[in-house]
Amino acid sequence: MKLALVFLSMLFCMFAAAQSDRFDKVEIKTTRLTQNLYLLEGEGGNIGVSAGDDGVFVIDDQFAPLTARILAAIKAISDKPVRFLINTHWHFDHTGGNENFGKAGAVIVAQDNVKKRLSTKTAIEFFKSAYGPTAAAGLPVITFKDTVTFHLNGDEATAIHVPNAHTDGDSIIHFRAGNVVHMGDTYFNGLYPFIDTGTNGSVKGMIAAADRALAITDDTSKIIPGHGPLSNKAELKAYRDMLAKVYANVDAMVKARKTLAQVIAARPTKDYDAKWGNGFLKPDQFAEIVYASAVKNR
Amino acid sequence: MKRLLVIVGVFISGYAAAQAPNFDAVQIKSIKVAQNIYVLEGQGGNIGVSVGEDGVLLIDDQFAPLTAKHQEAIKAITDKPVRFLINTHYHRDHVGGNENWGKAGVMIVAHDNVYKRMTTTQVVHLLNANIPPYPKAALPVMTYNDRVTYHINGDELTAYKVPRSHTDGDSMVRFRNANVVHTGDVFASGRYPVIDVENNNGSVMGVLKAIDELIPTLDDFTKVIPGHGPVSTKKDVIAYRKMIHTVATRVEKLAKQGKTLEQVVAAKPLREYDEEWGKFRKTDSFVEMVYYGFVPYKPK
Repeated sequence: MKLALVFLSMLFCMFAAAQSDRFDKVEIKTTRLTQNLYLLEGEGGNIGVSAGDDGVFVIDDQFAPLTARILAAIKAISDKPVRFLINTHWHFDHTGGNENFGKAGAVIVAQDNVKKRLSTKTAIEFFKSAYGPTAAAGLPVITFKDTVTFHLNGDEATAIHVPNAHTDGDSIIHFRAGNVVHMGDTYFNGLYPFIDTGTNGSVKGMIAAADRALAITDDTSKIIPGHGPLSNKAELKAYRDMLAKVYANVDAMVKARKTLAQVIAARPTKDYDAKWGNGFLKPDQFAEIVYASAVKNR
Repeated sequence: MKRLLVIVGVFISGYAAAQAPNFDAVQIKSIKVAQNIYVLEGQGGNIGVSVGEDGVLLIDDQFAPLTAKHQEAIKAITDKPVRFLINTHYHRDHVGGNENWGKAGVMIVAHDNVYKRMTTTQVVHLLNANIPPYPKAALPVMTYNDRVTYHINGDELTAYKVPRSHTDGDSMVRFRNANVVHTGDVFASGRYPVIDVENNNGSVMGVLKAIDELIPTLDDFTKVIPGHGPVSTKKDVIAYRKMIHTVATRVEKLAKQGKTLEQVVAAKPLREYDEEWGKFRKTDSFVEMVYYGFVPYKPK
């Protein structure tokens, strides 16, 4: 047992070192989307920023070691303080900076389930990893059930809860005047999405989230995915159709009582692998996730 | 009809006078309701106060000239800053201090419809009110469609939309651990409430519905902070429910028979309540607001 602990702690140190190496090289890239809206890319989930007379409003915050660089990037946009931070969901690559932002005075807002997940140790079963609990200063102070709207910087930004999508606490954020939507991790642009079925995500919820966003956007809308490059409605629609088709393929096999091995062997994603299968998740992994979701829905 | 108009006119003047009292004379009374919860009484709606390590949260803020006095009363309770303000609805006697608090950096939160009302002119004949849009600093910076929960001061405070009742944007605020609820103006304790029935706002049947949803959430130990009146209990809410149900039933019947407002008022649908409950608000004006829950209101 002791040996195992020593081994574990060594592993942890190596992991920590690898982590800091990994973050040392990260640069924050700022892209201006509209008069008041910006996209910040670094390592982890894409960050949305609204900056204007009323202050700065941030969507997601990547990892703690990047907070200083993220704040520097924001400073280059605006000298106003960060007043509000919204988390699109609980995952560590979107909430890692929470404690830093909370201590700096930002009011953290998220859907009710984000607070629940961050308050306790929570596993991502698929990656056999666990996180939290997040320190008190990093927890959302105000949570909402369905929608909240920020009346800021000449815009109305509504965070809309989309149930059981990537997790059970996802929000997409719609800037009405800016015509921009931040999708959180309900949208991975150009790569198969991870769906955290262990915290009640589902493919059906992912498709519904995309439909919700498609209904409030037009051909000139800018769509920020959780991961991947800035996107648009046509690309989101292609993603939505990919999800629906792969789900239909897998669900038919689940209905026919095929095993996971049989489903993977049948390559239910093969028509899409060239476009979506070269990212974070390999086709087999994505098929496994879709299978898990289809089984859960039965 | 003319006589009624005179009565209404007299009432309105009385109301207007009540709306512009000499605020200099108003004293703020601070009442401890639970470990971390206080009520401030002054002029206007009761103010709920949550204090603790995370700072101060206010529920409603009465009238602008009273803000300095509220600040003083809060200082006497805690040296923590005021960080959050929730408005239970858009009426002047509950949001009057918003601009002061907003300028002081307080985050104002309310239901979506409160924002809508505060950003447009509101003409309410029955309340003798013509309220222009509020300045930006007075507006909620965040609004919700259903509910929000504050995780502060060792408690969970949920502000939740209740049925269209006193207005179309009423919220109650529930302190989960402390077992306290601030009802806004959906509940007035031991007195007739205002029902803002114009402009597609509230109605007496909505009040009944909201109260019927409130009662099952209360137990014998719940402290109920009404919009107006003293800190109350479930028993008081049940008594209020009975009064509302009585007047709604009687007035609805008369209205459906085609009786005019004057006839309904003359029928004294609140006869057994008037002596006790009519001390704070004139019966006739209340009956009028009940009546226009069943007959569409038309400005005269």
